[in-house]
Amino acid sequence: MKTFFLYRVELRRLALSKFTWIVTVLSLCGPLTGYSFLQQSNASVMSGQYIANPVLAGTVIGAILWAVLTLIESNRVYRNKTDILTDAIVSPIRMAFVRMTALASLSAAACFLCVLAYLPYTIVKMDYIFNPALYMMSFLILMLPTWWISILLAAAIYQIVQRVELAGLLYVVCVYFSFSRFANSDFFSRWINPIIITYSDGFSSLYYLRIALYTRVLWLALAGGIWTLSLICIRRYQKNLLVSFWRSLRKVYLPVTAAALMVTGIMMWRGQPFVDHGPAEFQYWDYYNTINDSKISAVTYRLTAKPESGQLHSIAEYTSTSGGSGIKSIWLNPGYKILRIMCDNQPVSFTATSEFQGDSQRTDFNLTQSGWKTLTIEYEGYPTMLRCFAPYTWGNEVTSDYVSLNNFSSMPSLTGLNFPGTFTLELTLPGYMTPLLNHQFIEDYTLNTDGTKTWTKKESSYIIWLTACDYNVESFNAAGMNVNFVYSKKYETIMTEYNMQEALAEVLSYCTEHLGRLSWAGGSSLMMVQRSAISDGGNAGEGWVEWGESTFTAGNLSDPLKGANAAEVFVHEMVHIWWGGLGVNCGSEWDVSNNDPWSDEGLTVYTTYRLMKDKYGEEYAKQYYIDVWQAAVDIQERGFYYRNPEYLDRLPEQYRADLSTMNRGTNLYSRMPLMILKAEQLVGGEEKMDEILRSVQSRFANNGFDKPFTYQDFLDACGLQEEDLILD
Amino acid sequence: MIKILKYEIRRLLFNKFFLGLLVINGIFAWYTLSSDTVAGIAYTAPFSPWSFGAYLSSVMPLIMITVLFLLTYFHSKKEKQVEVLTSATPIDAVRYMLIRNTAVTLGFLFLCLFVVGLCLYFYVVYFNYRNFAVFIIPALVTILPCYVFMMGAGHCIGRIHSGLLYFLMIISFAVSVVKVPDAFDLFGGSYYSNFPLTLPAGADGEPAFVLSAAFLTARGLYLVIGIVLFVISVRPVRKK
Repeated sequence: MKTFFLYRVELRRLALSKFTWIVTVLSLCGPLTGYSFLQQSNASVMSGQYIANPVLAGTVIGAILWAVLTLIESNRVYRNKTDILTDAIVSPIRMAFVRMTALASLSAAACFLCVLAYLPYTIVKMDYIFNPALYMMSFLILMLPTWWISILLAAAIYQIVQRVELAGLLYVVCVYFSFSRFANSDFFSRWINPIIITYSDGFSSLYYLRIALYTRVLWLALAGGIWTLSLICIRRYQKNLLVSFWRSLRKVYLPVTAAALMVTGIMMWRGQPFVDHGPAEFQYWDYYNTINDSKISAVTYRLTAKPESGQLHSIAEYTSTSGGSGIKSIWLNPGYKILRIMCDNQPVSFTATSEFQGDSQRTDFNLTQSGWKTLTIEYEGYPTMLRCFAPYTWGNEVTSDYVSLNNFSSMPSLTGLNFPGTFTLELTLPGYMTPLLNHQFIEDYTLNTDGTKTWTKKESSYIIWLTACDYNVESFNAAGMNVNFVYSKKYETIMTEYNMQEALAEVLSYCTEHLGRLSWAGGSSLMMVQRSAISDGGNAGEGWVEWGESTFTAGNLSDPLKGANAAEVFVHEMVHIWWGGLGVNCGSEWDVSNNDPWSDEGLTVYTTYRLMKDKYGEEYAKQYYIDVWQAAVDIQERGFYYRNPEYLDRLPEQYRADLSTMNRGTNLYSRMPLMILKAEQLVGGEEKMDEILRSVQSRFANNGFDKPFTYQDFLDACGLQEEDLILD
Repeated sequence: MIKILKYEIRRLLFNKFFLGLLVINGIFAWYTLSSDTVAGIAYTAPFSPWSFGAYLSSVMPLIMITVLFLLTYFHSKKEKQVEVLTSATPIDAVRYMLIRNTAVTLGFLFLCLFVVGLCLYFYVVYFNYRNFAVFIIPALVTILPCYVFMMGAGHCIGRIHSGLLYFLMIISFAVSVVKVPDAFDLFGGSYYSNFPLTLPAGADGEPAFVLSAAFLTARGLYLVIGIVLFVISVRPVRKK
């Protein structure tokens, strides 16, 4: 009762304090900076521009302001030298608890005011894209807990050092740490600036909110633990830190609570379910060359998405005519827990190893008898992202608005088994979702009693891409091709407003005219798929193209003269239909150990440049393409490690990998286009080059990976020597 | 005088706060070396004068915060109360102030030697580079104006109110983050990062270490302002 009474008194005192009001008003202004210069999230999607950025800016600024208030209030009795009196009336530990709860209550009220203050503006700006749940969750998951963490840490530091200036300095060090490169590489360290690389307008933002919620709870536990520990350090009876600590230690509940909270935080950090616990560097797959001693006649994957928990439950069933015995291995996303492995209805023991390759972890199991008929593997869990991708938070997701599962996040790979070449997928999803398997529609489904649908498809190869969303499909014919344009229903207005169908048809017509008709045009259909901003960028393969959400946002589409930006990514990826995938395959792009600039990208970038030159003129093409390539090559050649590769060995492995990626990017996207441009000048101009490229298309398209179009083939087609294309 | 100096050194530098800040400075310096300097600044070698200058400009804000922290000893309320007594002693107030500032300068030099030593050790171990003479100019140009300016500003602002020194610490941190014209960057970080890009590469592929007139003028300006502020702030308080 006494504590509650003190809480009311303290709350009232703080609520009437002028300084509290200043902090509240400034905290309310904090989100304003997120609209312009303090942008921490992708502003090209509207939820990023109008929700994520203001909330994140308000989170950081408010956290610092409330920490300052906490430090001042914690120091107040000592500054006024009234601590001797107040300590005699109320225990300083109780008073610290009361002050903390009062500050937490006031910051909660300020956060609520923030929610109300920015609501009308956000609704007006976002219009039909506005998602009230996302708006509320952003404040409640990102802002409020971070303010509490900040208050707890500031109070804890002060209670330990009991000097306001030193506490302030240490607090600044903590803030700096959260923004440092170290915290960037491990986003769980970001206590004051939670990571939200992007939100999504058309798909789901739950992926990031889940990560943010987890890190906030983690840091609340850690900060709460440190703060509870700091209560023991509060100076008592005018004694120093050690004596006060010893005296307060007798209140056993304090160290026990502190330890419990800190252990909870540390356990949450160590056992986090979002990033795999494998090595920091990417491990390449090399397990394909294994002995296949078991002939499999049928494979069925039964996948059930559980959007409410973000998990996937799955059963993989293998039927064999002559199953072999011995140790076998499963490669599966490390986020999944294998529940059981059954061989002819008998349980099989299995052991997870510490070996990781790509986005999968190896689990070994022993088949003791040969001649088995059925092998089932049941697993469930939350697909994790690769550790090396953690700074970009690229991963798979299962949410109520979007399902995106690639490779080992959907199905296991077994070594030592000889596959039949086809499999059956049975995928259970919420009723409103439409799935795409390897960028193709699934036609057959059954409606379940709980409102979900089970989709069935027989497919060759593997599950490489599996996505599901409430899609809108536009089918049209362009340049003699049947095109299916698939995008989130929430983008329907934007796609209609900017007449995207016409823009896509325009690119297809240009490429058909200049590079030739694709051999499969008119027969197969071309799938053009929009994917979530969370896995932005673009991709293209056999009969499909996909783009991230940022490509089609109103901001990008409304400014065609912004330069080679996201709006032009869709052109680049569409050109890949001709260069790469089903078109002319140039080979070496995916061989990352190879620093050879020759790949599909060079020709794709060059063709994109030509299209843009045709559309916007020579000056535009020079400014946004040729000059950009030249600048990138100049910078590369100036690089110390590029000039002195012998020093590379002295660099930490991560830096070597970063430099190699950067050099490779320059070689593929800048150096080679410049070399092709030089070739264009040497062969006699654009028309001559188009003629050469058309002949290349007719000779090399559809050759696949076995017979790629090599650099020597390109030189031969142009009648040039290698030295002719060396850049000056 | 020596006795007073020894006393001031012991008071300012031989305490847990200075030791703690020294450790923080060391950790931050090593972190900067292994994360930023190792990559080389503006595509130059990690052991180029440009990279060395950029390294110094990265660690300088924290060193200056440490120095400002030492200045809080001079301008605290307690110190001002004691001033009544010290000003009654026969020692000349200006000389006394200079002795105390010598102690701070020694602390600053110790910190600088520490972070420069770490850098040189880094160059020897990772790159087997030992031609340290080329670092003298960037060291002088970076360190001296910063120190003199911050000492002058620190004393000046500390005389107004000791709490303002903490504000100056925040400003010092902010100056290293906020974009200003390259030549006028107090710590020189953006200058060392951008100016080499405008220079042609030499025979060895490295741009020569030449400083622009604008940058040198700005450094001189900081130096002069620092001296003026310092002179103003160390003038003796009139005896009441």
